[in-house]
Amino acid sequence: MKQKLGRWIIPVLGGLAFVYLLVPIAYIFVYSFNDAGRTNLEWRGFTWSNWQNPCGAPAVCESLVNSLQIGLLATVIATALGTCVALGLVRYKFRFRNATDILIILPLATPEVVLGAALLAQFLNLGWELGFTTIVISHVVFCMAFVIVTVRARVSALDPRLEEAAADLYANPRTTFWKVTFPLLLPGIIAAAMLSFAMSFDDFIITNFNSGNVQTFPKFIYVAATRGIPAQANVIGSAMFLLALLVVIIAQIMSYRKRKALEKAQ
Amino acid sequence: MDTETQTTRRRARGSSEGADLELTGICKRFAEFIAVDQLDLVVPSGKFFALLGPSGCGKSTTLRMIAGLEAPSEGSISIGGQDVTELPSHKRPVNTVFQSYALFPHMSVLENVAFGLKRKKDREAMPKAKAALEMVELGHLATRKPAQLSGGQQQRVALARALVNRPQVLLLDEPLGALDMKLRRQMQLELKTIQTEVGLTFIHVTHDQEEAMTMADVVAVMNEGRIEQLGPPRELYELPRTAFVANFLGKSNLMRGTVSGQEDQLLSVDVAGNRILLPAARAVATEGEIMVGIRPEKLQISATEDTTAGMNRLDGIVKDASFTGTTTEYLIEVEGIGLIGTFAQNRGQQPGEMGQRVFLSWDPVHTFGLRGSESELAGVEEA
Repeated sequence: MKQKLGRWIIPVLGGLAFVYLLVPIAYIFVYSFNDAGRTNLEWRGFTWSNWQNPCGAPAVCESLVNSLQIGLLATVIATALGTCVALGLVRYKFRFRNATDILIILPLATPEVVLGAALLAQFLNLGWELGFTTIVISHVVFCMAFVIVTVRARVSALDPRLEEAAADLYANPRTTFWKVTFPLLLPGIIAAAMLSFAMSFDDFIITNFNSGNVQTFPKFIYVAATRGIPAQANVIGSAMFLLALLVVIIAQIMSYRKRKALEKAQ
Repeated sequence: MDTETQTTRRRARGSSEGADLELTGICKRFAEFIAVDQLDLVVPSGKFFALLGPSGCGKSTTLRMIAGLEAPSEGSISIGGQDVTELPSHKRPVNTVFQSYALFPHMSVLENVAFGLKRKKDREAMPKAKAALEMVELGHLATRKPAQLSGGQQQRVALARALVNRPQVLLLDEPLGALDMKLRRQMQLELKTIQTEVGLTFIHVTHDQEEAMTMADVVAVMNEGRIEQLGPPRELYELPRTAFVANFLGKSNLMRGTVSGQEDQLLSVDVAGNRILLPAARAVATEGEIMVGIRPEKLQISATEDTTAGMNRLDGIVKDASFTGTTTEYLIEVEGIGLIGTFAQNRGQQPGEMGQRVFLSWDPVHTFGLRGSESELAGVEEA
């Protein structure tokens, strides 16, 4: 009897945990098909119209485009700068390197409200108009910290002898970087960029301090929530979720195939 | 190896000549630690040269300085008469086979081998790389990634990747260290054959004295950042000039004594009351207290006393005898000297049993003399 219970308890609890995790997402997905009226809170019947016309609700797509642009730009800048910092931190010895290491984690540890307010104070001091640029600058601040932490792990794992081997085989420092270092760091850099984009895309607190009149997707949802989120927002949320899921599945399939090929070869 | 692969090998390498390598007054200091201390070394073109020493003796640092991966604190390096001390690694006519192979994991085996040629803008990079892979008998694995190869195969790729560039000097940093014994012996022969065929200057760093002796034309024994002794393997073995070399390269029986006279180029040395003869030319020091050495295999062990005139003689009690099949190894306690090691070939005889008195004798020409100030234990632990 006891054994039987033991055999069931883990799958049941595990299942419940999954349900707990997935219910909100399932809700968003299901209600993206709701034939909603003014609010999308109660079920009024199935429809494709939200998916056929995702930009139907006012300002949904403008805010989405803003968020995508900010996310891409902040990611590119943060990834490039962060990769350089990560390389420098691992490869070069300099005074206060350990202190620098800790300082880099600071934006991650600082509460977002504090960081947002602090950035706002700087922009006001400089007299800059809040908008697209200030959002990007703010996002680069915290995205870079994520990039540095992610890429640094990859750089530490990189065998410095590979770069020495390249130099030994007549590659100048620039060629060594592009032919050896960069390709080997690429998986880490891509992971960092994806993380960075995700962080930028859904940031609300820091953005809210520094965005002025510019509407980002999270800001739009936040404002819309007070008077009823349009079903189109559910469509965009679900599409994002499906896209992320697709990326994960493709990555899994690719690594599975690679492993099979390796096994086959040996 | 069949003749066809022999021909491919030769074609792959073409003719290329090595160059003299000269190190002058090289020092390398790391913070408070001196890795290489005032090193002078000339490696003539086309030689298989081994740098032999225990870990931490500075041999790898020396190699890295030749490759340009480390800058010497003092001194200069020249290759084929050209001073390369200030030249960055990628501009030196030198290639290295790294201890860990350091193959590029994101490139195929063929791309790895072609890497150096492509950097030199060689138009025939790919065909040459293919030929080099054929040479190490890995042509069929060209499209694999390094992770898909065994250790021995990776080692061959690393060798092909370096050799294909026909460097003036090829550096080998313990390239066989990670291989198992059998593969190691096989690769040693391979390497030696390749070196003889291409005629490049090879500099091989190793801590394995047997490897150094079987492969190299010239061996330099390094210890604590200095070269203890340099010469052909046989010379180093037969006539070590320091206790470190005597113990690190094979085994030696070292005994302290005092020079008591000289006649006809022969020193007579008083070793705990025994008169030991030693050719004066084989002694580093010829006066006062010196250290007398003899290799274990030069000793004759017998249950009866050898009375041949002019032989060195000792006698003692058998403390340990271990039978290994082809030989029996003995440890003999000689009064006033201590334990002397020797072994007897298994020819059916049994010269001594535990606790029995035995007689040792040897021809004085095999004896060597070292400075009395040295420690008889130098190099014992490292070997």
